[in-house]
Amino acid sequence: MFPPSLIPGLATVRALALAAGVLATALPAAAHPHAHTHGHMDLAVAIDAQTVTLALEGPLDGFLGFERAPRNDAERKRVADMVARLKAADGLFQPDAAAGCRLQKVELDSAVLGLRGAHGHGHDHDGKAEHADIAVDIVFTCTRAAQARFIDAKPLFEAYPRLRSIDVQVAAPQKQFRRTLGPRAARLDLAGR
Amino acid sequence: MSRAFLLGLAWRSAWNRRFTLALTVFSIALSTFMLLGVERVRTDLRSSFSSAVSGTDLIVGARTGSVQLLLYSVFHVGAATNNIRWSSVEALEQLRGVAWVVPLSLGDSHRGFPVLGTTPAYFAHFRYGEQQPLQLREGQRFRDLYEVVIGAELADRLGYRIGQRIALAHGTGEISLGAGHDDKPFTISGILARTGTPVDRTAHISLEAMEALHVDWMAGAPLPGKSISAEEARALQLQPRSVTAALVGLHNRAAVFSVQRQVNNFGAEPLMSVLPGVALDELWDVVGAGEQALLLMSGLVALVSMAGLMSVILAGLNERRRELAVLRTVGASPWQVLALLALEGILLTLAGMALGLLALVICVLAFNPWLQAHFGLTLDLRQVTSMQWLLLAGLLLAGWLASLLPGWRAYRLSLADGLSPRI
Repeated sequence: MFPPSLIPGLATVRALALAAGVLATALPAAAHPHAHTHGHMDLAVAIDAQTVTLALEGPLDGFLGFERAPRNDAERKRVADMVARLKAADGLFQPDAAAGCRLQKVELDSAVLGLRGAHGHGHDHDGKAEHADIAVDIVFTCTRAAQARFIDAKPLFEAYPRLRSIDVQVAAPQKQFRRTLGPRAARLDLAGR
Repeated sequence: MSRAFLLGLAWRSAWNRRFTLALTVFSIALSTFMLLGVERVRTDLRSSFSSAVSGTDLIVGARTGSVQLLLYSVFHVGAATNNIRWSSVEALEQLRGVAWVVPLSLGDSHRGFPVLGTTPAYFAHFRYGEQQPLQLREGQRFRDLYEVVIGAELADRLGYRIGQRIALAHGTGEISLGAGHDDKPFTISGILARTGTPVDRTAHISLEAMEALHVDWMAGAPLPGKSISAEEARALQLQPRSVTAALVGLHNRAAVFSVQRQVNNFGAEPLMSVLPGVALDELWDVVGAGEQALLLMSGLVALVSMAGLMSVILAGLNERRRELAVLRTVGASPWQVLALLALEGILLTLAGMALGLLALVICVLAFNPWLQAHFGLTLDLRQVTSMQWLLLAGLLLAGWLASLLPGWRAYRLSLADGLSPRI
């Protein structure tokens, strides 16, 4: 006879897997990056032999606290500070020193603020939209990108406390996976697995 | 009082109570078995999940949930909401950075097993586990229009051999609803080696064959009065008009997000693409909740057997008050009594754990073929996870603590009341 204790376990697991299929329809689709949730952003991390590319995208609210063109000097200063801070992205995302990375370029793209990236993201808002997003493309050039065991995003969460969570998709040479970062778990672990 | 003498006494005392103690050991063995077994199944289920597809950079399909797209394209569970046009597949191949595209067409079945229409590129590019390619156990890939390559599980379960002719059915149900493709039987040209993935359950035919099956069909039913025989169908234009999904491989893995962006913004029809590894993680987020519940259950089992251990020792203690009191009068210190009880507890726990481990090893060895056949799950005993070590250490600690409490009680009571004549 089969050990009775293992059978219900397995049957449950199988039922769960099937239930997942049913539940799956109710899951938010990660591939639709345009859901606008304040405090939340999406990050795509691609790791190549020589480069680490990060594409961060989400509501402007997370960085500014408002989502429109600045209306007064105080707001204009906020925007300028944000742009300066994001341009110095190595102060916000810190790849493992073992990878020997240095910041190569940063592109900002936000229609509301009149910032245009070189290639754009094909999501122009018509200006009348209630909400507005920002996309930040960051490229690091590394001597040994594959050696990176982590990327620390702690400074980002410290700099922008309105940011509560980041959904991360990672494409490394040998694996793809998903992680969620937050102020308490701000380090993107690339090793493990 | 000499230590050896004391241990000898303790051993004889334990031997006297061997049936109660055996019961305790058995319950500890059971909880060890449960805890480690569940953890093993949990870990290996995850790895067999994630070994279902590898080496594919993107899965492209009609807009739906990412997990749903993964489930029907890779696990052949559920159905697509929409197909994608053949022209879109051709456009995919032209995208910058795309190395190969393997179209997948689903929807038919053979006695409950899914039928997958694809191109020869599938056998060249599909990878599972650690980038392992598909291999034929016997025979060859489909060459003729009416040839089929079947998975190992399908072949073994239905006892199929090379050269045998089978009929495919329309739809995906276990029971054929009368609408079959009996007029166009297929010859088995090859049987794939076992992979432990959904491939084992799948019958693979060419896209053209999929099209040929349905040339005289319209809206899911045979056209009345219009029947095209298998031979007549050969002469027709069998270019598929649409497929269910496509697997995409890239020259440079890191370009995946830019290709994904291009696919998601595809102009001709709404498409979506997911990274299979990411979608697998998402799927696991859902299954993982139930998996935690499973672990919690076995934790409770462990707790119950620890409580059992404690109660057995406590109950025994009442009977042993006299024994312990006699030990004290002949010169054993309270510490020695405490140490004896603690030693007994830890030995019981260790024996129980060893028995549980042994049972687990035997069960895994005995039932691995069955698990593999029914669930596509291979339990790997060699890889002890850190969680398993943690569980073992936890069990040992809990067992030891459970025996300390009665020991402490014995320490306090041993001389005070044990010698009074009433019992």
